[in-house]
Amino acid sequence: MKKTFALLGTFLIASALFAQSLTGYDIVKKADEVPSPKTSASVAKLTIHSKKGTDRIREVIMKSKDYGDVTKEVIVFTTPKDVAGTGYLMFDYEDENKDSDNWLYMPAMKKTRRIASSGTEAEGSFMGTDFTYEDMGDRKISKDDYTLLGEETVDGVECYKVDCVSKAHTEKDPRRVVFIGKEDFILRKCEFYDRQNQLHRVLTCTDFATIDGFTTAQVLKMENVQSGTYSLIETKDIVYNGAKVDDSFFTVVALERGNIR
Amino acid sequence: MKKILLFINIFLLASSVFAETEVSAKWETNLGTYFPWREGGAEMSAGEVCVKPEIDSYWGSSSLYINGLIAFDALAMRNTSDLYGNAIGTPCLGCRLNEAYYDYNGGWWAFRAGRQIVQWGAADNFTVTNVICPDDNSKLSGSDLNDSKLGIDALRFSVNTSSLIADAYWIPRFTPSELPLSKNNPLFKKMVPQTVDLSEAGLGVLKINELSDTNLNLPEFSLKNGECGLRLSSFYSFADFSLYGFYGWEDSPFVGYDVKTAPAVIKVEVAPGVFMPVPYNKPDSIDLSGIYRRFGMIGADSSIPVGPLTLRLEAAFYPWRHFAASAQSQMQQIFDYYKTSGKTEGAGVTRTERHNQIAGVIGLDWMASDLTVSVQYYADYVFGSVKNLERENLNQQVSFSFSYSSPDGNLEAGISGIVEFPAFDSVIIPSVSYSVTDDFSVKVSAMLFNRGVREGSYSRYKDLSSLNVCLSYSF
Repeated sequence: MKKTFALLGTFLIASALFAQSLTGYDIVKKADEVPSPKTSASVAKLTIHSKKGTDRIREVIMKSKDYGDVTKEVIVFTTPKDVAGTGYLMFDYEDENKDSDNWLYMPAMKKTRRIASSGTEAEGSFMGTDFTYEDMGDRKISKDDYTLLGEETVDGVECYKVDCVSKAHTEKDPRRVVFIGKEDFILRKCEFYDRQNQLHRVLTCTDFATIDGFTTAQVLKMENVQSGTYSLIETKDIVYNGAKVDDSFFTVVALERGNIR
Repeated sequence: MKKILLFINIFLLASSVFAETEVSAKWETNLGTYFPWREGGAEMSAGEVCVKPEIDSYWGSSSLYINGLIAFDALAMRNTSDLYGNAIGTPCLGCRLNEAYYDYNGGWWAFRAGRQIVQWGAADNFTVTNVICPDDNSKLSGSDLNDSKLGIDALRFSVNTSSLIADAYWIPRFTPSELPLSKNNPLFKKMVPQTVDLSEAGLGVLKINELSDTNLNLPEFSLKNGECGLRLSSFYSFADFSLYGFYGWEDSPFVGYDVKTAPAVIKVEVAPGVFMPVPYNKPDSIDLSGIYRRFGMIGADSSIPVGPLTLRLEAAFYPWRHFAASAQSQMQQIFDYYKTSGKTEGAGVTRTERHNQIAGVIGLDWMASDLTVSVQYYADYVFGSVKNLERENLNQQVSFSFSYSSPDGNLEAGISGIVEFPAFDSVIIPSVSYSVTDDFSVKVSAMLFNRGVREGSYSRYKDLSSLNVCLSYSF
């Protein structure tokens, strides 16, 4: 739960940076340092495609705000009806030694539950999709070792191809190969390899749009090549640094009162 | 039928007045059977079809929320006056307004008026501070809170800051808990004994008559009979804290036992070999009645994240609370009166005793990506002598819950239960739920009541162990 979807936009946002004789680490660092909006509000449609060919749809409202030392985020389900109103509130601290604060509101129980941070949860499925919570956030660059593998074209865009290997070998997908735009340092594609170094999942980012000066991928597709499933996250109504994100949204009372619409 | 039409009109009116309206509903079919090894065999334990409409409307800072229930109970076990009118024991269609409230959000303050369900406390399953809403005791389980808790007609005024919530409630009209009064409801037999043995008094075994709505003495609807509650909650990085206060009525009645007499004639020997008939009132059966008593509660809870665990604490103090005198104790008082006065009527029976009580829960939760584990320890203690009560000074229970959710969220399986000490009786609830589509799901669950080393709160229901299937469709 430490990272959320809104931050993925941050990771994908470009600035005009130039690279010369960059190492793998330099490239990933530049992508990580791309400026991000202070606040973000959006609506996302999550499509979960099963091996049998059936689709499940989830819709969520997402809002986030960067307070400097902490990023506060809230996610509220609107579809399906069974879980509509269920909300997550997360405070993610800059300080790596400080655990995030998490609350879950369940409308059927009329109750907000405090949820502890858990090391294993980051690799758990994000809302039943092929994405994990960690996929949705800005993974700390100190977690991996980087090697520049070369250059490759993705969807017509020249990209650096960087090998990222986790320093902790306990992760489900300890190796990733990222494709980062040479000109804009935007992530275009990512391949995830499991502990047996077999290709596990492939992320592709498409439908880029510039919103308030921030370039954002509006459609993300995560394909699990081993299970044959895939998930789509289609984002709409994106507003950066707008008035729609009030401080009062990032409170337990807003979850309980259903104020986030 | 008039009630149902009124119900539908409220929904239509609400949806037309407010600017943005979301209408949804859930259809549910609940079928259940008792396990065949019980006395009475594998009879059906549930047969209900429900539609649960819901409206959520908002306009500016105002919003309106309505959530109701329209149900057909083929077994006629439910009896609520809201739900099934007076058709006790007859399968019929009924409806109930679970919640219907207006909200105004003024920023740092807010106001809510109408029927609302309120949940207090950090504990699951155990009632410590969660006393503001009455329970639906007419059945053993509910699929969600709207089935197990009844709404209260209340006004709520709130003050909110980023880390503090203060809610003050005024409940002008008392809502009692739902009782299993229907003749077809097996829970009724568990609530009170069927007969009482007064052979020692020469009265034989007397039948206990049924309790009905007309024997329940509800508090009159007046200002002085209102209830009030207060909740203060604050949220910090290291922990969440809440304080609670409540002054109101016990939701369930205290049952009183009164001897009912019938005219009879006894032959009295007035001279050797000469008998004269003398009319008298012979004890015939026992009448039940219910009275409601006031009580107060102050309590607190806290949720503290500790690494991968969440520690939950909750405690409450109930000063000078009423406790029901046992049936045996009440009958003994009547018997003593009968012996000394020769009369069976007019005995002054003490129905309740007052004692201080404390209660608390300590719980731990652990959540991994697909697995949730929760354990809780509950204890409550009644001060003073309890020899006339149907309980001991200390009551202890342990609950557990393991649940698994598949990565795609379609399959959920779990097992939960409560064990009571020192009786060691228990209830175990395994369940599996599968979402066939986003809108259609099937849930199979069982409720298994088990004997312990002696009779306890759960072993009383051992004949009611059941297997249930619930189909639900949201639209």
